[in-house]
Amino acid sequence: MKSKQNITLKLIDKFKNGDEKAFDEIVKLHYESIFNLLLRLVGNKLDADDLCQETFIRVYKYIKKYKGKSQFSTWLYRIAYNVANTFFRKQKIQQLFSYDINEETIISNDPIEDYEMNPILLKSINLLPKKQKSILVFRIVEGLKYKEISKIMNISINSAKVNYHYAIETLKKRIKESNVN
Amino acid sequence: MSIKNQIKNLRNPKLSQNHVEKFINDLKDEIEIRKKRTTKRIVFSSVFIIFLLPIFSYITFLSDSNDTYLISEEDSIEQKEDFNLDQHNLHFESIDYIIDNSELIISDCVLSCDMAEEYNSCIVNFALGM
Repeated sequence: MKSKQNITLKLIDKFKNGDEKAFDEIVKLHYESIFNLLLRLVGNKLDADDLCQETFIRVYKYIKKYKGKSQFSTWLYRIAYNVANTFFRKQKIQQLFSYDINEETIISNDPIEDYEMNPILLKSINLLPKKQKSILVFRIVEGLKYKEISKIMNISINSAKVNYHYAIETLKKRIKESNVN
Repeated sequence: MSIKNQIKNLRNPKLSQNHVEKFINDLKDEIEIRKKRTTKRIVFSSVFIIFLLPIFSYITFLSDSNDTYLISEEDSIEQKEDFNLDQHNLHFESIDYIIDNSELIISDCVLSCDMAEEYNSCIVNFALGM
């Protein structure tokens, strides 16, 4: 992880000095983790791909302002998280003005194909509030610490912990209910 | 298996090298498109500020300059918005005084003096021309 940070910092320096190809290398280095994060957050490849592009466009625009005070991955996750949030807001507005689209069709739109996961669990995760879902993905899938999550999501460490706890409890409850039914 | 482990075992889709290359190429194209769009926006804004804004300002100035003026007993001009005719005693001859002595070029002069005869006073509306 540290070496990835060092490589990224060197590439950023190169990019700042006018080497456009260094940016391609930065994208190559971080594309997979950002794509997978967005895939877990939005639930389908098509939107994940679009949001991934938007994320890296913002990175291109603001990378010269990155001072290296925090981990590059944290900075990058934060951008991706903001991009995803903007997407959720737009989606919510679209839903308000659309009579045909219901929650079910949005979730099942081009879903993640290859998962080794209980479909009930996957559906339960998708139904979690966005904040809880994001914390769950950051914590379990990305393996981030609460401190990093709080920085990315701009919330307190306590709030991250509480929301994570609620997310797990909700999932347990939903799975128990579906097993009973 | 616990929920945490089930989520942990979530398999990420495998991304081929081609997929990444295609993504980077698309990203570059999009960045170029946005750069051009930004340049166009800057050029348009500059043109607007340099050429169009002064014209709009001039037009606004002209339309704003059509104000109501009060001709006072002392033949001086002062701008008034709420002018009560009852409180003043003005003379028609004052208009000629203004036209003759004002340094401003008066392009249009309209009398709105329906009550002038009754009150022996008047309000003059005129537009200031260049």
